[in-house]
Amino acid sequence: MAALSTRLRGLLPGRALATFIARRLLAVPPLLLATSFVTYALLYAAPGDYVARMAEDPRMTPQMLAEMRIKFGLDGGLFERYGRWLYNAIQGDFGYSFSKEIGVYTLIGERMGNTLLLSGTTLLLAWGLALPLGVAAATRQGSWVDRIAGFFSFLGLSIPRVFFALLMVMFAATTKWFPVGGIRDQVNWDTFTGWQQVVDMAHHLVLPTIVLATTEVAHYMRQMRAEMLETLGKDFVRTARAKGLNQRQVVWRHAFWNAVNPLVTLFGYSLAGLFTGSFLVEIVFSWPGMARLTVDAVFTQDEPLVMASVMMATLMLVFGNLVADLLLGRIDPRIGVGA
Amino acid sequence: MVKHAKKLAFLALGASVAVVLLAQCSGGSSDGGGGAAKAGPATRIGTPKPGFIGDTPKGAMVVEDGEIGRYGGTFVFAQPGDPKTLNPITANDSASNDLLHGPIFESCLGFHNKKQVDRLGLCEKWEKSADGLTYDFTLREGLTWSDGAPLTADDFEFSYAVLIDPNVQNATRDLFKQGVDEKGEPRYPRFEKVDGRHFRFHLLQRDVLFHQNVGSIYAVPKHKWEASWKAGEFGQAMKLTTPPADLPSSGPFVVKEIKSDERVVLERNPRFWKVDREGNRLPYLDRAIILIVPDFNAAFLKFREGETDVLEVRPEHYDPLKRKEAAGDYVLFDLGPSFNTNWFIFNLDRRLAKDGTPFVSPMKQKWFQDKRFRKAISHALDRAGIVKTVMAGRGEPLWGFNSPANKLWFSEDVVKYPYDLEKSRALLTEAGYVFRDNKLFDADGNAVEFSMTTNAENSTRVGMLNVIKDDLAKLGITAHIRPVPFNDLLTSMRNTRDFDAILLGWGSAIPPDPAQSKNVILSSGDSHAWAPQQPSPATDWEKKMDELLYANVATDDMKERQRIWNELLMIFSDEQPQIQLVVQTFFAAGRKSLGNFNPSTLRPTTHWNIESLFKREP
Repeated sequence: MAALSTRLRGLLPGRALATFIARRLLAVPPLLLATSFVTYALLYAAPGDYVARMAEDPRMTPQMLAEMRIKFGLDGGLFERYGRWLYNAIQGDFGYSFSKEIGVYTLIGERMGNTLLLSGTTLLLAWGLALPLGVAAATRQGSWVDRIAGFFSFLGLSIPRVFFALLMVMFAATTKWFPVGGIRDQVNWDTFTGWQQVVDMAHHLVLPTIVLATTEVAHYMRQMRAEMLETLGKDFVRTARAKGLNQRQVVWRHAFWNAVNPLVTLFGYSLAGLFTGSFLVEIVFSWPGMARLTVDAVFTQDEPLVMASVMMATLMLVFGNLVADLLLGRIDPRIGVGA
Repeated sequence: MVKHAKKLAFLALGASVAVVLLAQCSGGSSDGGGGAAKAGPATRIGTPKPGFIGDTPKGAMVVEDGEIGRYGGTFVFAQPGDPKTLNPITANDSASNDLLHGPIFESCLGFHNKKQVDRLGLCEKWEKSADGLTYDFTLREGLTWSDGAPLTADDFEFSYAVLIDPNVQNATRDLFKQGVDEKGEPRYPRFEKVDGRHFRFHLLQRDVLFHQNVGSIYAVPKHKWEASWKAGEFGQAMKLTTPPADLPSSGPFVVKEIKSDERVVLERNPRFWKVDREGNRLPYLDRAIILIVPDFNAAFLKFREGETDVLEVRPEHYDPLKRKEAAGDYVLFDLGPSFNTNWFIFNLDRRLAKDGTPFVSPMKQKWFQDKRFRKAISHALDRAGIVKTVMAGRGEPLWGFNSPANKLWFSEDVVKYPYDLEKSRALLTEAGYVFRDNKLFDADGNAVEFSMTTNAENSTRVGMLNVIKDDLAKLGITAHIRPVPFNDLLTSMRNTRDFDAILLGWGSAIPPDPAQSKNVILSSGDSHAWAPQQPSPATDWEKKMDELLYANVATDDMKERQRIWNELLMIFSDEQPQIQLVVQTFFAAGRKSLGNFNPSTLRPTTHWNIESLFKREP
């Protein structure tokens, strides 16, 4: 009876689930508050500020610089400045980017699409490859498929992403088979038809996606293989075989769905990484996503933009973890969310 | 089975995200072309698309140089970093300035980057009264903004009012400042609109470079922005998010599209007011696309890939380009020395910090203030070695204040400090220093040891300090290298003054006139980096340099100005308050298919004459 109720709690969005989500959401504001304060304090402690960079221009007088500090709210102590930021942020006003004089929502909105395109494609490719490969490696343990898959996962886990990305840029530059960076053909884009635009964008996606997916494939494939091997050795699989089911049915109908459970959790966590997982690769491939925006903002000490990016990444992480926990509760009856 | 389907649905989530996004991105295709623009006069040099509108303005300016081009084509180049604004008055970063000043907005007077001489612009002539206090400007006949509204003296009146408005941040305002009134408020020359095509400035005191100041007013359309200025929102005008239709231009191009960190697309201004010497309307190019790239390496790759038409070549990219030049479809231009100088200063500040301690310890003061010490250091620096090791051989030693790139103001006649350790040692011995156990000691027995700083982001500068450290070690001096972030360096240099020595560089303003170096040369200047903001000159030679610079800008007799400037250069090089090091050689590359490509060392290097550039093949 108790087992049944746990199972129901896992499956149905009942009260327990609502409580669970509410409890998680309640933890978000203090988390954001802490993150934002630490970020702000770090920005404050960093030497110089956005305006100091303008002093590079010999025509700028100290008086003009002082005026700009007041305009940007860079005067005052840490708590005063953080308080001002917080007051506006609570009302949903994250301000204007200093350097671009554009609202941070607009800027982040523009870039988020590009980042999600890249990380979404990566997610798709990584999972699309990792699951069947993992299953194949497990069912044909010790075969050439298993060995090749093992070799590549070893390679994928050991090669540093940035180095791999640089290699790929070199590859593109030498063979000219792929563009060396960017998200689209900036020169001819306007002359393309809808289909050509899709093809062009896909062409630009190939290399960064390969770089990003390689590590992920390696990681998930090893997981999948290990889980699958364990499951294949279990009693119910032996029972299934004893019933006379063929290999295909045993593997895909029974073993796979039991083995995939822990990976669904991992999938939830990889959602959390959608936002920031591709940072370094975006930089190497000149991908106009969140990475370049945030890194530039940090270098120029563009406070509103840095703060908004960090808040966004934090929220994404919280959301991803929540999804992961919900998925876990939903898929594995042994773990109830109310627990 | 249902359960399985749900799991599959979760796994497919990523798929749908990607697909939806892809679909959205492809949905936004452009409408292509400018629509029903009237075709310009059909000439033998092809058809412009979009075409010109209306007749050639009566007072059109004739561009005499270069070949007669042909219409059509897209000019592509890469630029590290986004423009920050589309407002030519408040813009103060080079990415925005390069885009706005020239391609989008022209001013009353222009500058020929290659010949380094003034030329006309929106104005067809200017005159100065005999007493030098009244300047008259006449606009060309028939000028319009790209949206068809007439471009008149009203626009200049409006733009000047905006420029001197203390609430509008801009770096040009100070050029017009002429002292202060009784209340301490800055005073500016008075603007008088004579009629639609004529305007006049009434100066409060003579300023021989006043016409150049007027040349730095990039007028904005009054009919678009007067309301926002009156509402106190001019700082928010002409941003990157402003719709292109609200951005009429006076230059050869109009903004068509801006995508942050991706590209800027420019299209022909169909009402532009320049023609070639055969009367064909300019610009020849239909479009110009600026690719926004993260850094110079990416710009280099884009050029090598054939994606861009021109490239400002960094020293490290010269060799790979040179090797393939013969086989490639591009040419490399040696532009000679750059305008950007590199220099080394000691902290000569005699002031006390807030806590009462001197900025520089008395012991070091004594070393740095001694002219013989500075001369000895200058002789000990192997400038040729710096060029060879950190500039890949692409540079030359620099002795005077100006780079040899400055055709008008460079002088050979300065004190030079060839690499000569014997001479260094002799100078130091004369000043009472002693060499013992390969170390240098001052007359009081202190070992000579100091730190040298520069901005860590610039590997060339850090490299120079490494060479200098070795050179100084040969004199028995221990010098520590302390690279710091640029922000910190500026704070040290401008405010806290907590440094021994700094290595840095100056760029050049356009036009590269001595008047533009007031901030550096005058002892009261903020960029008089060795001892800035002096209430009165601390030394006789600084006093003399102040006097000479004031005298230089008080006359418009060029011969006299040159004589005075040369005298100043002589003092500057003899005193060595700022030890000049090296200048880099500049290179630019351009496709053979690009006509009238005539790069200059002044910005924007590769396309200062963008209205005359053309594509040889369709």
